[in-house]
Amino acid sequence: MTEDAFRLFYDRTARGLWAYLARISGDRRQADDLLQECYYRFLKSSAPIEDEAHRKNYLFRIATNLVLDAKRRPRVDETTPEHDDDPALRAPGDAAADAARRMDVDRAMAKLRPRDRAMLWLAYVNGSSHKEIADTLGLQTTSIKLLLFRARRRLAALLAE
Amino acid sequence: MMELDDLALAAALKEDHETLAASAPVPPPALVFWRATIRARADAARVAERPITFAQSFAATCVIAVALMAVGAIWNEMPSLVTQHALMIVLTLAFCLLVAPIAVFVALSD
Repeated sequence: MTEDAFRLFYDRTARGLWAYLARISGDRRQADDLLQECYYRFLKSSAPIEDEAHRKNYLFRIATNLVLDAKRRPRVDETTPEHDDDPALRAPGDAAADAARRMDVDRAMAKLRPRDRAMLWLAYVNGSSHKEIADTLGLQTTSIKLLLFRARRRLAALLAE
Repeated sequence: MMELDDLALAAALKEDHETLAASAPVPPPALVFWRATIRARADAARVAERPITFAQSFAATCVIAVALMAVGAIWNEMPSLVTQHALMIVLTLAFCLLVAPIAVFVALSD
């Protein structure tokens, strides 16, 4: 991939990918580290890419594998959640309510398993199909519907708490 | 009811995504590309060096083995050889001691 092509692709995907990494790993600092690693592995790979959607899915598959691998390894420096210094939390009125709602999502997602977080994010934020989710997470397409239903039910229950 | 919950869930996740993405501290693409290029070169160099390191290790092992065999072959005649060629042995050892630090310096410097 040429630098110009990479720049265009990066501009389209970097922020979304960072958000995905931050939410799936539950750690913003880890997301910073993994973002570079994702693009390095993506650039190094010689896997055939069919189209733009496939390229993006491939990038998210790399990201998912990196997060799941990192979760399997014990971390030396456990990070603390970085919500308390969010300026939106200190804002009055609607901004504070919005921030509180975001924090609910944050806390609820943190209680889910990384695979469930990834599945929900891919389905609802990226709008990925069941097949794309299965490819990204290395699962059977036929099992996605049920797994997604369970993950969704868990998140809904956590948000309702 | 379930459909409504789904919509609310999707809206909450999308909102969460938008907030996170807006505050994402992503480095500039040129920097990411440059880092990846540098790392790819370093990885390629490491892979290329692997057979050289193996060959060097193999050669060093062979040299040690040959030296041990040679010492073993002349072991019985060693005292007389040392007596006969004492000056040559001392000079060779002195030369080695002198050259060894220079050789190490040259080998380790880029």
